[in-house]
Amino acid sequence: MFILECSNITKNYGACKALDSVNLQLEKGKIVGLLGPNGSGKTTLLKLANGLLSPTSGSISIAGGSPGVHSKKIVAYLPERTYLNEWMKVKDIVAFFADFYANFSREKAIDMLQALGLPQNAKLSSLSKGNKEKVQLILVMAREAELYLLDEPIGGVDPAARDYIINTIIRNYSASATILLSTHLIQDVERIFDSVVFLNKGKIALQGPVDDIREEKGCSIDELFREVFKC
Amino acid sequence: MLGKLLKYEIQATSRVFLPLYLGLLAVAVAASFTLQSNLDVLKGIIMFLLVMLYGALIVVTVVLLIQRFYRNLLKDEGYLMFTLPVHQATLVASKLVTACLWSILSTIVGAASGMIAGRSLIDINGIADAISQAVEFLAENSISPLLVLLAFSVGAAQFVQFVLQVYLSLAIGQLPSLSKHRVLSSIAVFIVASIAVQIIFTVALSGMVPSFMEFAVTANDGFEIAYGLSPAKTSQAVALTTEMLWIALIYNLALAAAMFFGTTWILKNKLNLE
Repeated sequence: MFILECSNITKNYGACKALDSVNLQLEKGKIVGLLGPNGSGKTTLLKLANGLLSPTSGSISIAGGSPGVHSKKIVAYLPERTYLNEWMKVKDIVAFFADFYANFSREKAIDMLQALGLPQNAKLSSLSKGNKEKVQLILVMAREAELYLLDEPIGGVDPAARDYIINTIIRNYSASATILLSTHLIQDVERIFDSVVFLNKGKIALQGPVDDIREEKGCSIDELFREVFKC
Repeated sequence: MLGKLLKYEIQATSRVFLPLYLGLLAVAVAASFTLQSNLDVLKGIIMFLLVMLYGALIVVTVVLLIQRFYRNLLKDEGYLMFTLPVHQATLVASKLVTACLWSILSTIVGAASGMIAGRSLIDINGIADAISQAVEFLAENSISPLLVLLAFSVGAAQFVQFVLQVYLSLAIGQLPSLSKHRVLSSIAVFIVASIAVQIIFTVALSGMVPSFMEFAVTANDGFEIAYGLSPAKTSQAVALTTEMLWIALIYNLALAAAMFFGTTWILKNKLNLE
């Protein structure tokens, strides 16, 4: 059984096709890069997998079932936007996650907050955009999920924190878990990918294990990306 | 999970309501003292504050009812709420229960602050007299207290139906075909729904028109106007009112249930977060 399976999934926004008959299967225990230029459908795919959007046609399944209460228990999702409200403190949102997710580790979250110098008594509304993103990533990575769907986890943070975050992702994830990570900053994360999926204009342009692609094309994924999506 | 959601929902909203309630009660206490004094300027200021806070109480209660659903579920915060491992119906229920809770509290606080402020002007004995007269009237005409309870239930059902109509309108407004103008679409849906609700209710009551006509025609003679309704007429009026209230109660409950399931269905199957 695949942890994530898309069958002929299409999503239209009015006349615009964000995803066009995408078929994708993810196996357990892999770190997969979801790569593509802006507007290629990466965010749409991740929102569909979380049930935040409904597909125009086709279906998506998580561990054999459609997105629902069960899939939300085992999926840890980092959206590309901030969902933190303005009235909680950092420690309140940690308590909120601990309340709702059985697989959330408060200790892990507190360790990571300390490592990145984020005070637990800070109001969420007072944090900078980058720090909000860090808090959200910590909340997601402190869960022992089966599938992590990370939408641009390193897009808005400084390079030092970027390294810490990438290391955190690798350190926190167990061998049986799967990570689908979307980004256009490929160089920074290329080393952690087992395989990659290239999305272009809503279609899969290329997909496969990183080692095979490197060998076959004779270049790094970053170089290949620049080649494929040359403007 | 409903308990946990309610805990956070009440926390999020009490930040606004509790200070407002405290402020209103404090100004009401101040008013109760100054109203008896001759300090006209102070009296004016306190009365102005009291009126403003009353307005705020009504506006905040209604606005928060709408905003908690719209902002917490259908805007950015929805990314968190809809990825929690809870059913969509539980999310809607948590919003509904909290909205009802604050509306009841706002009514109580509003009434209490009115009584406190007007303490010197209102004759407490007069209120007690009025209540005992009302009870006497019910007893004399053999009107069951259950009828009063029924009337209150209709009011409560109408309120719940109103809240769910707001939720359903917001849920419809975010559907892909309307979502370019979410707020405008929601308002339009709400207006259309209100009209439809009224029309259907009128149709539902139309079966009662003949009995109303009969009652009205026979009740209109000189004797009835001069001396009030005869016992037979009174029991007829009570029977008609009871029937109408039952129809209203069932209608509003059925509508509320349909709107609850409609909202939940859309959020489950047609969610379309920006």
